[in-house]
Amino acid sequence: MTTLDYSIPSNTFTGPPSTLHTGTIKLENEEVERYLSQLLTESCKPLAEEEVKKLCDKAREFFIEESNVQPVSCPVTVCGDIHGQFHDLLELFKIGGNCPETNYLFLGDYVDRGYYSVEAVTALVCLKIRYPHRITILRGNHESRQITQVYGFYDECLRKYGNANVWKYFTDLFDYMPLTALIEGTIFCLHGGLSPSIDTLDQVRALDRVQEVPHEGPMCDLLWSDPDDRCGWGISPRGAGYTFGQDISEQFNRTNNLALIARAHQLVMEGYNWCHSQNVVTIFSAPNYCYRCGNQAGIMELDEYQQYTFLQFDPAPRRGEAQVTRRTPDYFL
Amino acid sequence: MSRPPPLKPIRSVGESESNFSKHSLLQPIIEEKNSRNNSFASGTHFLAEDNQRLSELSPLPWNDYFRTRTLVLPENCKGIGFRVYATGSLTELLLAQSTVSSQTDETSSLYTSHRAASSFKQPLLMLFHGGGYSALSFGLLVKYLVQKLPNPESLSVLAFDARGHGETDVENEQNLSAEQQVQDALDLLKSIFGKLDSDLPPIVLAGHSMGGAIAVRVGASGQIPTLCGLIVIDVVEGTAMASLPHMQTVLMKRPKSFSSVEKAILYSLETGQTKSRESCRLSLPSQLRWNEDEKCYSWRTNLEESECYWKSWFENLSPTFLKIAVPKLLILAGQDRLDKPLTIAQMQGQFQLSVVRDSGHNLHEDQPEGTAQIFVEFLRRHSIIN
Repeated sequence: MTTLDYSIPSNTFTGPPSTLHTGTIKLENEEVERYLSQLLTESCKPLAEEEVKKLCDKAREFFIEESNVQPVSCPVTVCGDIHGQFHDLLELFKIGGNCPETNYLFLGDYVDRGYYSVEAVTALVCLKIRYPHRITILRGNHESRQITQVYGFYDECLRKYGNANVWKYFTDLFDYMPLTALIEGTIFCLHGGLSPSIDTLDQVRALDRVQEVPHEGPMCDLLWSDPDDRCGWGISPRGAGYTFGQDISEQFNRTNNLALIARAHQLVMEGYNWCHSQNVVTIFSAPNYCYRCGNQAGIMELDEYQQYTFLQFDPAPRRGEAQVTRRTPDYFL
Repeated sequence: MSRPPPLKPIRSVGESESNFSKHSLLQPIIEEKNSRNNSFASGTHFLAEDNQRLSELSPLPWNDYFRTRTLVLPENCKGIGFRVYATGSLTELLLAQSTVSSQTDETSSLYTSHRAASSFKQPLLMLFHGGGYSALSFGLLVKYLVQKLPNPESLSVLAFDARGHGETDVENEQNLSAEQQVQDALDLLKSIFGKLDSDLPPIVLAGHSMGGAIAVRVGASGQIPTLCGLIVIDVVEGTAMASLPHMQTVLMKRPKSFSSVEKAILYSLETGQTKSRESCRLSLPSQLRWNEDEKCYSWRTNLEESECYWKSWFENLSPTFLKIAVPKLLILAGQDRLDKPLTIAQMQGQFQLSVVRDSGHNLHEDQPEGTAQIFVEFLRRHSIIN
C-alpha cells in the first residue's frame, strides 16, 4: 500500500496503525494519500466539500486525544506562521524535508492574509491524520471564527466553495487543536507567549481549551502575547494578550525546568529571532509576508540531541499562482 | 433647549446672531430651477413619491448628538472662529469661557476661566474630520460613545470644523496645509486650556482620513505633554498616496450643486458615500453652503483647489504614526489596506488594528455603533477611562 518510511529516529515512539480505524470516522489511508497527492503540488486543487467534512471529523478524533501541552520528541522541525502562503509551505517542505521523513511541529496561524488558506490548512490537517505522530499542529490566534471573518479565510472559503460550510468545518475543528507543545520536556512551544494567569505547565494542562479563542484570560494570552524589552507584564499594543519581559521568561523557564520558549506570532525579518538572553526564540515561516514585507522565513531544526539549526528561505517562485492584484481603495480625502 | 425644527437657524450658547448670516445653509428650500450641468437631479420632474422620499431626508439638528457648540477664535487667528462641538465636562468649561469673554474685564475673566481649565482633568477625545466633511460626521459615533461609557462623566469629546470646512470661518481658509491644520488644532487647545503643559487633561487624538493624518502630526509635534492615545480611521500612507491620482476624477464626478439639502442627502445615500441615513441627514448639510447668486447649494469646501496640500497630509504618515509612543489604534474598512511599514509593524504587535466590515471609507458614519464599541474598548484597555 505504501512505501513510506516508518523507521523511528527517536526512541520514544512505536509507530502508527496502518489504517485509521481507531475512532468512529472511517477514512482509509489510501484515500488520505489521494488527498495528499492532490494537495501537495504546485497545481494544488482544493478537496471537495464532503471530503473536507470527513477530514475534519477524522482530525478531531486525533486532536481531542492530545494534551494542552502536547509532548513531542526530537528530532523535530519547528515552524511558525504560514498565513495561507501555500506555495511557500511547499517550499518549506522542500527545505526542511517531507513529512513523515521529517517530523514537524507547527505553531499556528495557517490561515488568513495569504490567498491560499484553504489549501494550506487542508494539507496540514491531511498530514496530521495520515501521520498523526509525525506532525503536531498547534492553534494560533487566527484559528478562530472571529478573526478569520475579518482577515480572509472566511471570504476565501465562500469564494472557493460558494458557501461557508468548509469555513465552519475548519473553525469547528480549530477549537480542538492543542494550545502548546513540550519538546523532550525542555522546550515549551506555543503560538503567542506567556500569561500573567499562568505560572506552571500544569496550569496550562488544566485549561478547558475546546472553545472559541476568548477575548481575555489565560487561553487568549497563550495565543496573543509577545515578549518585550521592558521588564514585567505590559498591556499589549495589539489589543489582546500581554507583553512580558525577560524577568518573566526567566522565572517561567526556571519554575518549569525549561531551556527555551519557542513561539511565533511576530514577523521577524530574518525568519527567526532570539530574545530575552536566549530564553525565547521567535520563528516566522511566511516569507515576504502578505506579498509585501520582504522578510525571510525561518524554521528551527532540532536533531535527536536537541541541537538546533535554523534554516532560512525566500518566497517560492510564483509559478501557477494567480497574479496578486490589490484594488485601490475608493479613498476620499 | 427644545429641539429646533430643521432648516431654521439653530442657536446655542456661545453663539451670536451675527455669526450666522454668512454661510448658513439654513435657507428656505428653493424648488428645482437650476439648469447648470452637473447639478444633481436637475431637469427631472419629481413625482409625489419622490417628494415624499425627500421629506424623510430632512437635516437633523446637532444638539441630539453633542451637548454644546460654540465658536472659538484663537489669539493669532482672524475671522469669526472655529466651530466647536463638545460633550462631557468640557461643555461646562466652554460655557464658562463663552460667558466670561463677553464681560468687560477680559484679562481677569480669561484668567479665571483658564484657572478652571487647569483643574479640568477629565480625559479628552479630540476629533479631526476628513477632507470635505465636518465635525458633525462624528455625531453618531459620539452619541453611541457616550451611551457606551462606563460612566457618562468618564470622557469629554471635542470635535471641530477644520479651516475651510463646515461653519468654521477664519482668514486664509484655503490654506489646508498639514502645518497650518496642526497649528490650528494646537491653537484651539491653547485657547480652551490656556497653556499646552502638563496641566492639560489626558488627551486622545482621533481622526478620519485627512483628519487622521492631521491627528498623527499633532501627536508627533510633541506639543501635547498629556497625549495618551491615538486613533486613526481608514487612512494609510501607501494606499492614500496610491489613490491620490484618482481623486480629481472622483471629485469631478460629484454634482457641483443641489437644489435642496434633501437632494444632496439623497445623492450621498444613493451613491453609497454614506450608508447610514441618520448620519447623512446630520452630517451632509454641514458640507454644503447656500449660494445666493446661483440660488443653489454647492460644496462648502473647495477640495479640488486643495490638491497642492494632499501630499503633505499623507507623505511619511506611516513612520510618523509608528514613532508616536502612546497606545495606537488603526481602524480600517478593509484588512488589505495596510502598506508595507504598517503590515510589518502590525505583525510585530506595535499597534492595534481593527477592521469594520460592511462599511465604506466613511466607516464611523456607516457603522457608528460598532466603531464606538472599538473606541470604548481601546480607551478602557489602556485605562484612559474606567
